[in-house]
Amino acid sequence: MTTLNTTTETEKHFHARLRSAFDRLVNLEQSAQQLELATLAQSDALLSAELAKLLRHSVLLDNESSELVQNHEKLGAYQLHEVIGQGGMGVVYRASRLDDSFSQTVAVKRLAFNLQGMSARFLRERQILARLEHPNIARLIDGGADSSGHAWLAMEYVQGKPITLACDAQNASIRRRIALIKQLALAVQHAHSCLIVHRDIKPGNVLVSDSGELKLLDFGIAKMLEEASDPVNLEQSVYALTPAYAAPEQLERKPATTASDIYAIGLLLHELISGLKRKSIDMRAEATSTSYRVSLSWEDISATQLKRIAEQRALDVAGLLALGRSDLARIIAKATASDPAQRYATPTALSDDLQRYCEHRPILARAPSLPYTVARFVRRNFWACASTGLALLALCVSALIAVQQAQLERVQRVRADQQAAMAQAQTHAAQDAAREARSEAHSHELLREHFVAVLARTSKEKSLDADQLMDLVATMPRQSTASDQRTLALALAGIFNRQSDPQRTMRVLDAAADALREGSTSEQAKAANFRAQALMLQGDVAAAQQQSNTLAGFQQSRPESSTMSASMLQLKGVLLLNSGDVAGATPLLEQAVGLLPEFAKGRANGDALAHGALLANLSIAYLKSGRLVESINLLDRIDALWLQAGVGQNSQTSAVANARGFALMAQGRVRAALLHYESLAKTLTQESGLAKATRQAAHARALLLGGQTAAALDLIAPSAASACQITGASANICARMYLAAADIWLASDQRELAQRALDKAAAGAKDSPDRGSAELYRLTEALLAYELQPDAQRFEQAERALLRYAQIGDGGYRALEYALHWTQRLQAAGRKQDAQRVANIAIKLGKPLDLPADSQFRAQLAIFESTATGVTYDAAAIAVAHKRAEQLMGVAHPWLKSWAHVSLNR
Amino acid sequence: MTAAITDPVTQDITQWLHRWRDGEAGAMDALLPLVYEQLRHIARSALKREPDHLTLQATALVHEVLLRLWPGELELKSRKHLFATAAKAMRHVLVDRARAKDRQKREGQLQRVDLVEAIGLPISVNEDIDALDEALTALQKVDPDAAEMLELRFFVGLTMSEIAHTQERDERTVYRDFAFAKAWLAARLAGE
Repeated sequence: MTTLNTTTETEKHFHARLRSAFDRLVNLEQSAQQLELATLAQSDALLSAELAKLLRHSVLLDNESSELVQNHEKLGAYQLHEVIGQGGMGVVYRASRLDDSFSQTVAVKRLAFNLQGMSARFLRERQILARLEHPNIARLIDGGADSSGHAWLAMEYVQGKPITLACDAQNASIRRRIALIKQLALAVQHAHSCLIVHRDIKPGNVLVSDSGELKLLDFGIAKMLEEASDPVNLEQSVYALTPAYAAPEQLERKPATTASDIYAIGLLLHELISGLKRKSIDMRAEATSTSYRVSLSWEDISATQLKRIAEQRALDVAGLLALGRSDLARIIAKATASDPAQRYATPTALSDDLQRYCEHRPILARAPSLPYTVARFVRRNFWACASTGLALLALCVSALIAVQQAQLERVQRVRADQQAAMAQAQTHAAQDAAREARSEAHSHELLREHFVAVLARTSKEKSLDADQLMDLVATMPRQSTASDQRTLALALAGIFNRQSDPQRTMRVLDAAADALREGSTSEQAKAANFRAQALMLQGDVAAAQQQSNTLAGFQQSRPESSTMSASMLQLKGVLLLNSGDVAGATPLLEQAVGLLPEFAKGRANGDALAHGALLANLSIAYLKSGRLVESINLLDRIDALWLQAGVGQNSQTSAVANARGFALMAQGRVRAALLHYESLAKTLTQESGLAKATRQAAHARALLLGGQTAAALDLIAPSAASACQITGASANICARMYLAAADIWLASDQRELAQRALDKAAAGAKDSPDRGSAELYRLTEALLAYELQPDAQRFEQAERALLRYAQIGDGGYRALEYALHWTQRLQAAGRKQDAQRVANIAIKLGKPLDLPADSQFRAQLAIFESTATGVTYDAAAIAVAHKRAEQLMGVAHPWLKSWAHVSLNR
Repeated sequence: MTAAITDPVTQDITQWLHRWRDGEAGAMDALLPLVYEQLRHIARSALKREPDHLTLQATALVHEVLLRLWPGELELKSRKHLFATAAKAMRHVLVDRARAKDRQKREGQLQRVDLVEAIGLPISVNEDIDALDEALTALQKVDPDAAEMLELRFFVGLTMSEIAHTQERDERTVYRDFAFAKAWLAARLAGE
């Protein structure tokens, strides 16, 4: 009886949902229905199938018994056949021309509005639309009004599926999808040049046939309908805007322009690439620039859905996620900027940028920074430039010059602005800024000459790799004046500094050392700054400190320069951070960030990078002191800042990405971290050897906690070895790498290797001023000792080491990670009592931490708590905790397996 | 048709109507079976007189008769009750008739047309009458409003706005019900 009632209730509920979905979809056009059904199928396949069935029958009914179709009805010179679509705009019939000797099939759309005295306007509009001829635009053939005054239009009959469905059905690659959008953009461009705006570009209006041909439907219809509707009472308008694809200005009921079409194309591109629709916009909420932001990201998307989306694009998940950081994301962001003025000026410009993206050329969506331009240029033309004749080389060089010319113009514009400012107010600061802008322009000229010379030389070398090319770049040419020598050296040092290439930075500065000594205070300060950063990267903290003091001297002589003092503070902060003094570093970095508005002034674009780097350092300081939320907020701020300023991939991007990985791991979001690292491995191209080794070590740790010990092992061993060979890796970094390796070897019962790694770590960690490294060394040592001889005394020693490690000031996140991992090993070894003891420590450590819902640590702790000794045995709680952990960690996770075993045997 | 209105049953109905209007409790309960019988009677005789007559006209007849039976403004609640009853009656008449004729194999197919046409669905005239009746009953279970709407439309011949008024619902809602009920029935009868 109960069962019966329940079923009925379920049925009722199902029917209610079916009904509301049917009501919503039944009046949509068929293509729109297909789209909605496809979306629905992802969340509820049953409902979607049932709904599809009803809609199919609904169409059949309309064909055969619709009150609208009287049999053999004619409109103008057209014989109507069956209904092929129905929507807010009206009903569409397949029709054929009566008086033709050949039978031409057309689509006749009977519009849902009455002409009533506006036929003149309708005719004019129709004539304009009829002029529109383009292979990718469905042609308007004829139009008129029926006896009751209702307007109708005859259009080219197009067979095809909405672009999104067509692409997914064919598992179209990203390139193919981009190619379609480019076609679409060019079609829209054609219409724009005829002064026609589409206003309603959406998947249902962009059909792709089985043979891959793209057609854009309904050009200008939206405008006709809008004009036909009551201008006073827009709410009652017959013209139903498609809110899901409307540009912000359209949603705000402002007039649609060509920029609105560009927005819609961008949105479509976003959907084609991401497989997701724009987040729905709450029109009641205060509209802000961020509420319309469309970004290429897959937050809150389930793993299965991600996998499906990736497969439909012939990618793996990591490859898909990597697109979120590619130039494609920037192109989408620019096309869908909420301010129409910020979008691409024309559809062609958008199409061109997509072309550039496909050819690995610098895109326009970001303002080209010099290193970025050069990097893209070299990547694209390297072999051509390096190994072929002069003609091609000349081409390469002129391409480079063209890009730089644009940049130069920008600088000159800045200079002109500055001069204007100077004329207005003869202040000290304005003069300063003008001088700086002038010298910036000059430094670009010098750089350009230098690059041209370097490229000219590459033509003589037969085989040259990127490293050798950069060596050539780092070879300082003699300049006619000492001033030029200084300027060029500082410009090149700046480039290498941004690439975290301390050796070449030093080489360039050394080559110009004589000239630099005679330079202005500001130039000397800059050189000292670059040297300090390079030394720091090389691990020579003492020498870096010395440079930093020199810098402080310059700063005192020019107290008005806040740029210098922010950079000073940052340098000092980073020095402290690297020596393990997080508490000392944090206020310095905060102070530097406080100076930021000044710091960024007058150099809007170039220094978004520096600005972000500073924020990144503070974020790392927060991370190290356990202030995770603040840390992640800063990382988000950096991403937004760089996206907005069009900063390309650079050494700092990888540092920021690494920091994000650390943050994810600290919270125990192991799965997210793994995905993150996988995609980083594929996308990072500008990464120093050191950054790469650090990243791989972190990735290995994520693999270990994710239960993939073997994969972790594969990754860690070579990266630890290589990290320590990289010149510039400090003993501390090297030690940390070996500590990570030791832990992984320990986990895979390779105690000898673990011991050897520990020995190697000793030099850099045992007596390190960085307390974190020192305590971690002691903990690893104690864990290994216990592993070798598991007795009570060694257990207590390891336990004490763990508790000490929990005190280092990072809030206990890392200690929790180790506690959980240790419990896992104890559990696997069958040492239940010890395991429970460490589990209790983990519970205590986890208590004050605000772990997010998808944290693996949180799931593990929940299991510990549900099975805690002394507490009543609660099967239900265990089951719930298990379920949660299973979702997060995967059933195959060895830890979970061992716990399932334990729980069952209690 | 004039004859039908003056027969004794009709007089009874009129009498009960007056008592009901004067506020007699239970008058409506007595009234409805009479109306129901009367409707069956009218439908049967109408169909008998013109066996090949289109059923849609028969339903229009029912509608007309009902309105004539009811003197003056009809209170909404009773109107609702009355029409619903009428629809049921008409449906049963048509189903019974189709079944009866079904047994007399020869005429079977011809009679199915009545019901199928009445429902206004583009379904085959070879449709199993029981299946059709069953489908209507099933729809009633999952979506009573939609099913009632459909009956009012096809078996009483009310217009959409009359249905909206009777069901005390928005006309657009009724249209939506109509679209849904038709699609639902068609899908079910197609065996899906």
